[in-house]
Amino acid sequence: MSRTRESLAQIAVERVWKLAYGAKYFDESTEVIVFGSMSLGLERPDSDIDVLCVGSHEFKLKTDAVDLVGVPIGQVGRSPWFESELASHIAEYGTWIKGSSHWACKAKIGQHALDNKRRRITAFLRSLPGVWLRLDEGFRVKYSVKLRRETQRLLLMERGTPVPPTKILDSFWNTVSKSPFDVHDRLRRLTPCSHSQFIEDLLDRIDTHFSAVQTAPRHLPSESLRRLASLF
Amino acid sequence: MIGEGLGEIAAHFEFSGFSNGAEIETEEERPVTEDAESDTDSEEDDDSDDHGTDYFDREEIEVAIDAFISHLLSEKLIRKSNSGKLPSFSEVFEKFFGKGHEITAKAESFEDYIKGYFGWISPEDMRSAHGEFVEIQEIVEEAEKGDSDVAD
Repeated sequence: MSRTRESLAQIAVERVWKLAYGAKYFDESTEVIVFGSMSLGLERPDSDIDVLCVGSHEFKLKTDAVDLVGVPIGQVGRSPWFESELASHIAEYGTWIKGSSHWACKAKIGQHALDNKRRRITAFLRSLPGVWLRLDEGFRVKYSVKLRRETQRLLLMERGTPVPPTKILDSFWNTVSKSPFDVHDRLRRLTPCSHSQFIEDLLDRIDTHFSAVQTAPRHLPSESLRRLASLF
Repeated sequence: MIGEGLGEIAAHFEFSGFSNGAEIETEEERPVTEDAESDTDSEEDDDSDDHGTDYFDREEIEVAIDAFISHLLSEKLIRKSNSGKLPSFSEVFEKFFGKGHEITAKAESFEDYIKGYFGWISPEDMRSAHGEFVEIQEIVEEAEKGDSDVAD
């Protein structure tokens, strides 16, 4: 169920206040924004809360309960920030619990963010085939999930669409995808032909995931559905 | 056997132009990858985020570390936790040598150097990571030699 701005603020305050100097992060920020699955009401019971603080420092702080990212105020006014994957996600799905979204209208996925996403996927596809059969099954699962999600993100970013929370990629891809084979097609195109055994195994795992999702009962909160429908 | 597993990471450093005691290769000597080419073509005008071909992909070393941990798992030297969680690079050394041992500190320092920034590892950090890695290899080699001497 989607949460109100007030309830998100309450959860954020409760969790961030528990951190050392927690109150300071909020006090010194001109903007505090909740983003990710919780902002859209898609969190699991054990989900952390994603919070962006626009203030004087750049920092990252992660615990089981909170994922806190700090961006300097001078940075949010510049193109590298509002052309980033994170900025476009926050502009679309974030809930401002302090300050206003003055930069959100400028957020648009830029070429650098696209290049970086392609670089990341290509780097994995370059290094994984040589070790794939030696990797523990747990790692093969990890990389098949990672490559699927990153490819889904790339496909959306290429359409200029802000990347939604991971839950959408995992469980509701058919609502946002243009073709049921788009992830496969892209991964095949990015993988050298000589690595057919690796790519076939990788795609089998991705198929298994999508098949399982299609047969599982799913429920997307109506507010989330409305927001997604307006995007895709 | 840990030393054997470290070969997975050593191979990655060698491919990246590092070898034990050797300096990083010059840009001309390194193989030009598709990534490097596309990066050169980038029209990004802000040079603060403009990474040249000297930068290294964080993802590739992540895979090499996972191959190292897989080797230890297959040799049954380490086990997954009850929840199925796999240990990190430094946790492996903590398990074998203890939290206070210098090799664990070096492994933690190695992890810091390869954290990278948005997936990129700078040449300086890569060089420092390689330095720590070589020392880790030496300590492991000494420890394994000691073990085999005892066995003899």
